[in-house]
Amino acid sequence: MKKRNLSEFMCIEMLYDYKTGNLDSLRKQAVEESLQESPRAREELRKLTVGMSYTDKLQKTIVTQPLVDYILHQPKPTEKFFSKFRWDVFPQPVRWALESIVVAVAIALFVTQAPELFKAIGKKEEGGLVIKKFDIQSIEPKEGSRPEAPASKVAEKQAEPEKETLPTSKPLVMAPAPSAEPVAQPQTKPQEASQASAQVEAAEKKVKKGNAYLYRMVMQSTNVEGVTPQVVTLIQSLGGEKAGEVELGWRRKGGSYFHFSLPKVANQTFLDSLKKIGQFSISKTSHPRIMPEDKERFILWINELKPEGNHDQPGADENKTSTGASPEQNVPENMETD
Amino acid sequence: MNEAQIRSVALFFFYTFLDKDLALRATVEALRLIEKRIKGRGISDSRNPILVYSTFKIWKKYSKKKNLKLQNSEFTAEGWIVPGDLKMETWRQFVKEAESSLSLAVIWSKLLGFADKDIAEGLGQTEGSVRYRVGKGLKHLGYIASPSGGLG
Repeated sequence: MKKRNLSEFMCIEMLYDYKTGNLDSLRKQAVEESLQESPRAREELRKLTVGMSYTDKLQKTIVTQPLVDYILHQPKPTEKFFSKFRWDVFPQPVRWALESIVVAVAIALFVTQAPELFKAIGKKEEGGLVIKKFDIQSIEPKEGSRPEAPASKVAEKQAEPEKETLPTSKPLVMAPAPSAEPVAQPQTKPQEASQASAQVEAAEKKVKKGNAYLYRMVMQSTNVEGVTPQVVTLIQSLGGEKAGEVELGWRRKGGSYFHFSLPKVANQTFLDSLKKIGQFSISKTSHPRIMPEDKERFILWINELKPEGNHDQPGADENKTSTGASPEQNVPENMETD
Repeated sequence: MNEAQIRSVALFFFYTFLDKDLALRATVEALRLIEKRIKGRGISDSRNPILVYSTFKIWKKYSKKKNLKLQNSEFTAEGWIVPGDLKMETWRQFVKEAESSLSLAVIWSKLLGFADKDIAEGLGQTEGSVRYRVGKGLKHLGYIASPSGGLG
């Protein structure tokens, strides 16, 4: 094999490997030969040797044990943070200020949230009232007891709005309390009693399943006098009955008022027929009073519009087009709609 | 982390920054990073490539903050004891003049005694690159340390 001489550049580049003994014997020999010929390579080797001897000295630098211990016992960043913000580290005025802020926030929260809380509790209690419907025919009347009204009527009375006592006030017949036993129950035989209780439960379930909502409607009309009888006739023809104490189409200042119940099946017919009489808006709102399953409750207010453009009643134009403006907004505020 | 590794990291930052407070702070942070990486990889004991990687990362971070005034650390005792016959001015000039890649390679390879393979793995480079840098760095250091270099 022909021997190849190294260039000066190659020799200089290989000096570190030569010095650290990482060259094979052939390369090592070639570098040594090149070193004899090149003074620059020799100078580079000298510098390398000096540098290595310097680093050998530098390597003897000692890291002391106290430093190692100090590094080993350095707290973590989280520990450092918490140690800085320890409660007892703060000056007394800062602590007082923080305490007062906490107390102020607590009071503010209590004052703002407590009414809501009590309100919620009140609602819960109100919701706990159970309306029971009794079938009077299945219960034998007790001697001396006075069957003033059928049970269905009693339940209806219970379902009637308490506020609607405007024209006349009839004596109300109270339904028996849920916890009280039925009037004639002690005299019934055990089997009849169980049947009666089953019927009561069934009736109760039926009532619970009923409609707990109300339709609120507002109609705008320039001819309330003419429209009111039409609407009364329509309601009555569809089997509707007044729901409150006032008669259907009760005239008040600025319009007429209808509070009635309607068979559920007649709902669509009623709405279609009412459209022919005039434009109206309707909204379905939840109501705690429960209606029988086959009936729905309506409150209709026919608002009287002046024949010419009337700017006193904001929202009149919107209601003409039934754009969904809230019907409650159009009903006079002093009206007991319920 | 064993004590030898802590000493290596402390030496690395002492030689690179030549500032005891900065070196101490960087050492603590680098050790935290090393522990984190060891936990992340699930390795029971740290290895030199992780040390190389972590020290390089913290060095990059602190080399930008080098001119910032740091609070004096609570550690007042002598942390690093340099051999009496050693001229630190030579090293100071080398760190100042030489490219950082050369000085770092010299520290890892010659002062801390890491294998070229570990350094290459830690930096994500080839062994040849590492050897070239170490050789070049040593020559530069030898030039400064020799009488003709002015400081010998």
